[in-house]
Amino acid sequence: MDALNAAEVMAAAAVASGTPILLAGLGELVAERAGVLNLGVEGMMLVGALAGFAGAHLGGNVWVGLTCAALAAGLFALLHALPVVLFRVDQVVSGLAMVILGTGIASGLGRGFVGQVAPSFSRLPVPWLSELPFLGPVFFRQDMLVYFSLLLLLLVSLFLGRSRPGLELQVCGENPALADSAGLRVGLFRVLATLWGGVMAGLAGAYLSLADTPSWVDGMTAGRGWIAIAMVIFSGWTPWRLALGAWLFGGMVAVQFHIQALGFDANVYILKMLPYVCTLLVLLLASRGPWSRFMGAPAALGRPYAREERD
Amino acid sequence: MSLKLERRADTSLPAEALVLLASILLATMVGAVVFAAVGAPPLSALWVLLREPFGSSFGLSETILKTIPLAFCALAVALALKIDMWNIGAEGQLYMGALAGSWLALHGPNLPTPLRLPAILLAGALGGAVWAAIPAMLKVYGDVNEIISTLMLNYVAIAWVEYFVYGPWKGADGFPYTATFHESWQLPLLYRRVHVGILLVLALALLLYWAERRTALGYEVRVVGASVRNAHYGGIPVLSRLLLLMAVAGAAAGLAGVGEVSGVEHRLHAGISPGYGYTAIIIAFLARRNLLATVGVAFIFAALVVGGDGLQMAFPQVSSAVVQLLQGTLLLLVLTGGFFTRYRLVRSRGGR
Repeated sequence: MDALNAAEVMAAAAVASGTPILLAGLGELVAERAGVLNLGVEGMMLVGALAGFAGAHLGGNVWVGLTCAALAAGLFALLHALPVVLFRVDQVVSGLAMVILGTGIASGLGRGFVGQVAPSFSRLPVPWLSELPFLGPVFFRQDMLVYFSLLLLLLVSLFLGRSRPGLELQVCGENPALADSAGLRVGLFRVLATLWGGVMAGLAGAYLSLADTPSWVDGMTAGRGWIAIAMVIFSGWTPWRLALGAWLFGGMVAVQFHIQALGFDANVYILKMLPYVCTLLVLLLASRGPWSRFMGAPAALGRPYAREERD
Repeated sequence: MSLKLERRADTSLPAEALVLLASILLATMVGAVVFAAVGAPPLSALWVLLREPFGSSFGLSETILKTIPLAFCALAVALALKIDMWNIGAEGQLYMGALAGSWLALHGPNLPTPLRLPAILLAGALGGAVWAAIPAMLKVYGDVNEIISTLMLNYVAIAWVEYFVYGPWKGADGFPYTATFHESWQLPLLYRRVHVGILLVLALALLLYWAERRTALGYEVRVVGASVRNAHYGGIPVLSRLLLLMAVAGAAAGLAGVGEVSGVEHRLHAGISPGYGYTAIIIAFLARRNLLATVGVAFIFAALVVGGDGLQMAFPQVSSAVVQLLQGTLLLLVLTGGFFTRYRLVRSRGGR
């Protein structure tokens, strides 16, 4: 295997492993831009992973599975969105409750699906594009969900940067009182953004159980929901840098599986720590390094908006 | 005429008690629905949930046994909350405490017997303290969000334990756990399987409760918790207090780990905690960050854990994860209910 070939294989594996982070991150990014901190991503991903696998198993079709994942995780996200928006519940605690609740639901209902098989997404090279040098094998010889994540990356980026509702959504996250006086329905924007976050987390979970490692394993997200949140911080709330972070993280996961094949002798448990340690380093870099000047969390992130209490 | 929300001047204790009671009732109903959904008779399932932890002296002793790690971890979360730090890493700190204690018991220096138990407790506390100091330093010197860093370090801590029990410390029979600790490294038992850890955690909670109110350090921590800016004005070294408090919090979770390996399992393996560190977050929150109340709430949650195990045995189709589901539901309900203790609906005529 020559060097270029090895780099292509690694980069392709990085994109594939980074896809769930990208999907979940695109959801979290939009929710946070609207001002809602959703720490429950990990729980929503688990619900999505189970619903996706169960749907594909029972329905005999990956698309049924994908729909189930999106619906289940979206509905589940409303359990965070409604208390947070209507009842001004502390977003940190509610998010943590979602993680615990989602883990419990998935673990409890998933018992019967352990060891079962379901249809899964397979690689589907894009004609013509897959022949491009380097970019072809890396981006266009993947499965449908990877292409879907690329499309969504483009759409979210256009939505936030170029569309009127996208800008309105960001006002809700930056200055909800201003948005309110301009006639925008802050609560509605926030609920919908959180719902979108849940749907995306569900798709991310389904990617794990239907494409990455087609099966249902309890706790299979292994912290990826949290890493997605970390990557949103790293990205400075911008979609393209989020994608970069997600694929970088994917690279760390891919290294785990390929490093021994490449002839290095490394302990599997030490390699297992790599993505988590790298996430910490990346966060440190994001707050301290040259990147930090691009930082900027939405000003009203995590703060409930109450019209009668506005200054 | 329309309805509008108004913030209540102050929250009343009866209102809060009512919310808690209603939440428990509702969570129980959610539980009953879930039991019915997976095909277990709801009433007898709920009865098992209640009977198992309290119905026999064995059940009660198991509940007390599970209170130990839960209370230690909940103290770790509640302490950090005193200065608005979210310590989601009690789980990892527990594992690091267990790892440090196991190292001492299996591979450490040959200490004289009377020193061994104090030493293993100290090692565990240190292991947890060091592990908690990392996110504290990342927060202080790198402005890294502690929720994410403490959580990431949980996965790293568990991977370290796996590294040792699947590798250098693997037992002679080839299974992924260490050799059994020598008796001199095992915490003495009080009743059935309950070890002295229960006295330690009670003593620690009392000590911290007292220190919070009666010492200069406790006063400083309270000031920092109330307002970082005021603390700066008052000349309190905020950063060093934050580091210290997180280290103490980590030490508490580390003691939970030592209690499990030295008092219960007598060896180290990768599954010593079924998520005590995460349940502890709910406990600390429901206890309103009150260090003494933490132990009481931990006891109730320990009962839930024991009940869940009994449930899984009585009804094979029910997973013990149902308990997690109940805990999460309860937390969400109490949270939402908190709104009604803070606000009230008032009718207002238009034209105001």
